[in-house]
Amino acid sequence: MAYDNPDPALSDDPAARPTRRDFLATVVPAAAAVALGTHESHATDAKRTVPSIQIPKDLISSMSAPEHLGSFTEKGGITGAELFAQQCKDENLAALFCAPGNYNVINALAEAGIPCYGGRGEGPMAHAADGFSRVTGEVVACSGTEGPGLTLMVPAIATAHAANTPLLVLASNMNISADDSQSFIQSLNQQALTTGIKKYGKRLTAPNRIHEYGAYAFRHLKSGVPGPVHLDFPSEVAQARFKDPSGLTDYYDKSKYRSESRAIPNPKDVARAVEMIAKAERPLLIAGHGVFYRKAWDPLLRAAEKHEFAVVGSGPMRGHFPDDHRLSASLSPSALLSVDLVVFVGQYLMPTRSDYRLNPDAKAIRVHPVGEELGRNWPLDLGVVGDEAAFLEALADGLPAKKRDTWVAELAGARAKYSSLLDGYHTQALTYARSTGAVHPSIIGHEVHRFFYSGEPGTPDPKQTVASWGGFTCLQFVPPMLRANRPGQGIVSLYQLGMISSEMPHALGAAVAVKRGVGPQAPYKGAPVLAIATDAGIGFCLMELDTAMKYKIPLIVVVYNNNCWGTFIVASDSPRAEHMYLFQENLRYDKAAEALGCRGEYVRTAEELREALKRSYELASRESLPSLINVQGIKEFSMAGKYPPGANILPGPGIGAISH
Amino acid sequence: MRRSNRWPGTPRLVAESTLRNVRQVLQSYADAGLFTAFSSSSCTRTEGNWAIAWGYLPRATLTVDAAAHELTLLHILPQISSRSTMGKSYRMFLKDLSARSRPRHRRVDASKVKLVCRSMPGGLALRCRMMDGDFEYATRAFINVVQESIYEFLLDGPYYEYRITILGLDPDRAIAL
Repeated sequence: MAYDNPDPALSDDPAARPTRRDFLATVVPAAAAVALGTHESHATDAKRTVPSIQIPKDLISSMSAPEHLGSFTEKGGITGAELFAQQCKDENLAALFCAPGNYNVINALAEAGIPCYGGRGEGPMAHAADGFSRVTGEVVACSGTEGPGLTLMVPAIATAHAANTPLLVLASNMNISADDSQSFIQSLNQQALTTGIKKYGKRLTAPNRIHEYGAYAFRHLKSGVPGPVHLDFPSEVAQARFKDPSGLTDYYDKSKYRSESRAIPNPKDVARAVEMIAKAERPLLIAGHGVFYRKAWDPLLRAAEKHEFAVVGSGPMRGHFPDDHRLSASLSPSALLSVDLVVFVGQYLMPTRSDYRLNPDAKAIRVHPVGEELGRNWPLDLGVVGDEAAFLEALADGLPAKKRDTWVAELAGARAKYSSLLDGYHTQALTYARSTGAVHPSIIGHEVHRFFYSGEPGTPDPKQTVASWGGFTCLQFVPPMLRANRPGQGIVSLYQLGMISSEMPHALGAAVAVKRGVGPQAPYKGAPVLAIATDAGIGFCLMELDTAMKYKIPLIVVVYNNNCWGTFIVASDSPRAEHMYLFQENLRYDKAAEALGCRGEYVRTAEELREALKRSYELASRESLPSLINVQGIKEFSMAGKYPPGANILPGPGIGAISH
Repeated sequence: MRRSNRWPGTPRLVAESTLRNVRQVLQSYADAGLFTAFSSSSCTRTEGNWAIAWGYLPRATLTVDAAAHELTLLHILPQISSRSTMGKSYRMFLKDLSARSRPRHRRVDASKVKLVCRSMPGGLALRCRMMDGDFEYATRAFINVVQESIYEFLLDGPYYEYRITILGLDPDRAIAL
């Protein structure tokens, strides 16, 4: 398999590969002032001759091994798993994220040349697959073993389902011959377990129909509204052998078993939409994930600029309309209450009027590829059935050129007002930091913004860095400071399901996409990716730092460590309950990262964080080295009474929103 | 279409007509999905009461006293008095809604309606008095003021704990019911 990895650290020559100790010897002295204690601990390691953490040589050779799949003509024929892998390759399956299990299928996918990544847990690796898709729009797979592996993937499948991710979920599943017999271990009715969190699923029970059901899977993954598809493979199917295609059902090429055709909106509906938008004084288009998955950002931009309507992105990924555009309303929440017409395009999960901050008098248009959805939750003045890209192309062509100076000025004013609010939080946070010696989450938002999105000299291109974020504590302080200035630059990990823990693995998957330069990530190939996580979330997935280091994925994980579950304030009236919400204080997630071969930094001031971000970025860029920055806070920062404004959840649409 | 209460006819007839028209405006918002529940209760010919569910308000009562030219939303801020810190902030917020610095379409015309928040048993009530009998303007302004109160004042302000402890919202959502 040809694996694009120019990194010398993954060299075949062991002598050329830097060890963890080599790295520390050359890099850490510069960071010693941060009081990591790294020197001391490693000096102690040296006295005990503890072996260094190393990327195994076998990993290098495995990833550069030639592709090989069986064939009908080869001795023994081709297996069911290989047939399926061949179909996945024909369908351009973008990547597989897994923990070992479902061996026949994952081995065949690797042999077929599909980029495969193996990690420490099926759950976080399935989240990684979701993250990959959220920044590329591509179909991606996750896999796990039998009952336990599939069970561990369930939270990630549910997360992907809530986000409409085209995620192909694969799992082995014992033997058909043993169904219902309670034989041995790991037996599970898998399809029942994923009921309600998938678009389509099937236990494959007829070996000769494997290609036919592969076609079912890709039809669902690549047509209509996306969502997870779950196939479970009994051994009789995965291990079946075929010496010619005549025994297979529906063994057609993909051009025969599915279509790329899309529903073109009725021209009368488009004309009516054009008329309504032109008549409105303050129109807003809400661009949901359908716009991203249909890669319709160019016609959206063309239509918006031609007619000067405002746009706000919604959905589980960000950037399909750039935050830094003058027509973006993502950072102008107060202007949303001025909108007199809202146009929903690609909004797969529909809010009610109570969910969204919009003017009560606003009229509504919704464009959706499926007619049954129109009118759900939000009474419409016009419903349009049609493909999002086709509608936006028609809109861009049909709308007259128009200037809306007053509306654009109001958006700018609202943006300035919001920016001033965030600056006020930061000023307040600095005083809290001085009095407590701990970092308030607003400081994280400010420092991350300054380094990654300000465009100051010596900092990255503000369009470059992909970021995911999660956790409750930081909600109103950090996400509003992140930017998505181009498609696929942001992931809303909490989107809709509110899953805690997915932010770091989402970023891991996104970083794989960036490293490989897939889709909209191509111009930024190899750039570091940022995850803003919390101490609660990182507890579920910390071991995947081993995966990041093993594959040299340039990941920077900022952990806000406030010593508790973010919702601990719920226990404020229940003194005997509070202990359940607390962790040990001042835990050293940075040390855990070091123990997994990554870099770790522990920071307690804005200045330390600034320097840590800079160092982490440089090493991620130069050496693909993952870092974890443990930012020490305190739980009381969530309490508005002591440290206003406390915690908050932001309504949508716009930056920081976590639903719809 | 805007009408004045200076139509020919007795004050009672004018009040009855006003109530019908306010009802129509409220119904149009219900039809547009603004309220998740909307039902009238105990109406007289000049006074109407509606039970509505709206945003975080699960069982708000909206009262229209057409004879007094008033619309009232009881308990817009439950368990808050007008003299409390939050109550004072809310009064300032209401005052700012008429500021000339606001966009015209978001500005409450103080010559047409007067906004008052008043402590009532159970919390703070929002009252809107029509100054010139323009019931449609007053009703629409009132609805917009409540929407602004929900999204600009309550959800943007430092009131997350209030939303959980007093309004009883789910801590993991705390935006709307």
